[in-house]
Amino acid sequence: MHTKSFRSTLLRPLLLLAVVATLLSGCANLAAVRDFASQAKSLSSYNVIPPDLVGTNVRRQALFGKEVTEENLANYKRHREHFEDRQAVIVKYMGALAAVADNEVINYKKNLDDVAGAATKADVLDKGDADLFASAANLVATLATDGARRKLVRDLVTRCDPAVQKLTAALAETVREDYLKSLRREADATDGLVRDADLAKNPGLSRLARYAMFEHTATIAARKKSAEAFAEALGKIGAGHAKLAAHIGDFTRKEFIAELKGYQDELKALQAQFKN
Amino acid sequence: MPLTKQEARQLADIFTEFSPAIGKYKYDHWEELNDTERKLLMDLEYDLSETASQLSAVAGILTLEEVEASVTDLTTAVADAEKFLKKVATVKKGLGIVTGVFQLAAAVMTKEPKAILKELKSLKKLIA
Repeated sequence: MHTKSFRSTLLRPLLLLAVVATLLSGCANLAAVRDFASQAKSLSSYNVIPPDLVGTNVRRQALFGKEVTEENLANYKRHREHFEDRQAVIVKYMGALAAVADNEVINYKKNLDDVAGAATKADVLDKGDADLFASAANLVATLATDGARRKLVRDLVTRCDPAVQKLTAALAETVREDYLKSLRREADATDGLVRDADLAKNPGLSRLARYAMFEHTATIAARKKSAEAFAEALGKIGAGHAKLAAHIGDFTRKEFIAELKGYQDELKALQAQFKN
Repeated sequence: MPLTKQEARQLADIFTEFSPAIGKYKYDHWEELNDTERKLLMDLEYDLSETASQLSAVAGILTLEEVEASVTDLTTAVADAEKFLKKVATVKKGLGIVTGVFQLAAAVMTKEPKAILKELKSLKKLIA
């Protein structure tokens, strides 16, 4: 009884709706957008630089034998806070974009399978009808939500592209122009330590200073390399996002997906250069 | 008139060059210098390095403050995305409630109080 009435009252129109919806619109696969945004999120969350905006200056002051005071750390700390705030915004945005572009967001299959399973158990539907219902309802629900999702992804990408460009450029600029130069001054201070040790005319002290310099120079060089890779990666994130904005009407075109994948591969290669 | 980030960086660059140059001069002329001159050069070497670093930090702060409006734009966009994700989650939760109702119906048909109670509890959790 249940089954017959269900077939005529609900299942038929639902199946018809599923067929019509499938004909009218294909579900967009936004995997390329999701993968790029996920990679950009992971990369932009690199968290070694902010503390070192303070750290490099504390080490330099120590190399000069100066006492570190809260007063002369204030600007360094403010620089760090600003950097962390801006970085967090990029990370959040890329995470949100990846989440919306993830096809699983609009996949209701598991939830509808659960409904169908429970309905069968409750003897409301037989198994065949329940499965058919779950598949058709998933298709209708997915296609219905997909329209809103595609619109949102397009809206996010076009609306936010200028902001993404400005933020990634500002972060890269301060890494290149300010942080890398701070590392250079730390390296200069290390050289000064060796000179001062030599002036003390104590061979043991000179050797110790040279040993410290050897270790310290390698550490600074590694930090410099990571920072340069991070700044380059921020540029690639900006370029990849600009590409998204330029191809807003065609996220599924093969050439576009290949280009986006190219950016993703470059980001992966740069991330491998980051040291924690 | 406050410094621009470009001016801060130009000054930082000049001081960054001068600081090690003073250190080298001090090293090369150490024997010719008296204690006061040595201390003066040592302090100057540090002061130039420290001032350059302070200027770099100020330039960095100014650079990041310039993009404050972009921070607001992205924060609004993230809120929109989260709103959408929340809506979808609500739909999924709704389907979970339907499942719970059917499960409860199935439990009622078994006439087992324990099973009915278990399904009721699950349904209560879903609705909460």
